[in-house]
Amino acid sequence: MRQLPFVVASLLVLFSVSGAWAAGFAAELNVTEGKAAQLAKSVASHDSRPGSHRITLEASVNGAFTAKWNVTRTDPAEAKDVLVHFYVVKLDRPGQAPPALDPAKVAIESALTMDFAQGRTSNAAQQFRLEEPGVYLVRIEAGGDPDKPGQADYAEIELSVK
Amino acid sequence: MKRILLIFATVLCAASLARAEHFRIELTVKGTSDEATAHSDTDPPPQGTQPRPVCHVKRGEPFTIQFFFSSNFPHDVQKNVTVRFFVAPERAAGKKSPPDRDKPPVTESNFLMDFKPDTGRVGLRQRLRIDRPGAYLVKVGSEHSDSDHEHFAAVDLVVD
Repeated sequence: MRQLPFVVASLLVLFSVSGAWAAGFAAELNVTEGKAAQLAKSVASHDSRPGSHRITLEASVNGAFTAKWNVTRTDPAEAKDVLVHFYVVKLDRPGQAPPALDPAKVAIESALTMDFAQGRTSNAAQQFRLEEPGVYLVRIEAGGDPDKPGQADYAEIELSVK
Repeated sequence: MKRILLIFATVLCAASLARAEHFRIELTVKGTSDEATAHSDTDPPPQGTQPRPVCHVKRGEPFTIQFFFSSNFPHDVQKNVTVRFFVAPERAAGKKSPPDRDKPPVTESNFLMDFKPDTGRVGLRQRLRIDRPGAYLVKVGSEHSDSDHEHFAAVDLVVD
């Protein structure tokens, strides 16, 4: 099995025609664990510092998490072969910028490519468990390029797992 | 008579090709000492036509599941397709048995998306650990793909 950083996203982009759209998406991310829940809405990549808009969800080790995300095209121009990238990765410290996706630190990663006309939506619900205490980043990105970080619109939540 | 047989065979062949063309799937389960990969199968019949590969892991041992699910339909965009992935207990491995409805899935993901010809695809990679010995069905498949059949790939996971 191929095991590389950004393994899923990179492979999808590799076979895509373009896959890099700088902006024009609204993203929503809702994470629940038991009765705890947090909702994050998208931040445009150009007007934010890494981690500055992040909200935190306190959660239990080995809890059953569900992340539901939704991505909608807001810009009038149709975007072709857009990469939508979701991942949960362990951080070294709270507020850390999104790190390189070391497979040993990634609990779950998914990516898809599709065309988005204005108003077009894609969504998902993804379950996962975290077996070690620590700080984790849950993040959905739309329109980015794994080779050029910082271009995507995104929504993110930090998990404090104890 | 020969002509009728020829037409019948042509129709059968065309139908068979049409059924095979919507999605291309690769599903891999990899443990410390065993690995299994499954490719696209069709529903109906609900459990497909191919035998399921089997992957053995030890209880509590971390393992990885990865799938790539790509459009293989050259004619048009397939809109509002649901791709459902799950790991769920089953009664026995290798029996083409359905998941045990009395027990909740270990994990599940659902994607709603459009599949454009050639470039429409979705992939997932997830690390898991299962503490309860038994047989589990690992499956990823299409739902609501606006066709008379769906496509999936499945692996039997045996936790010893």
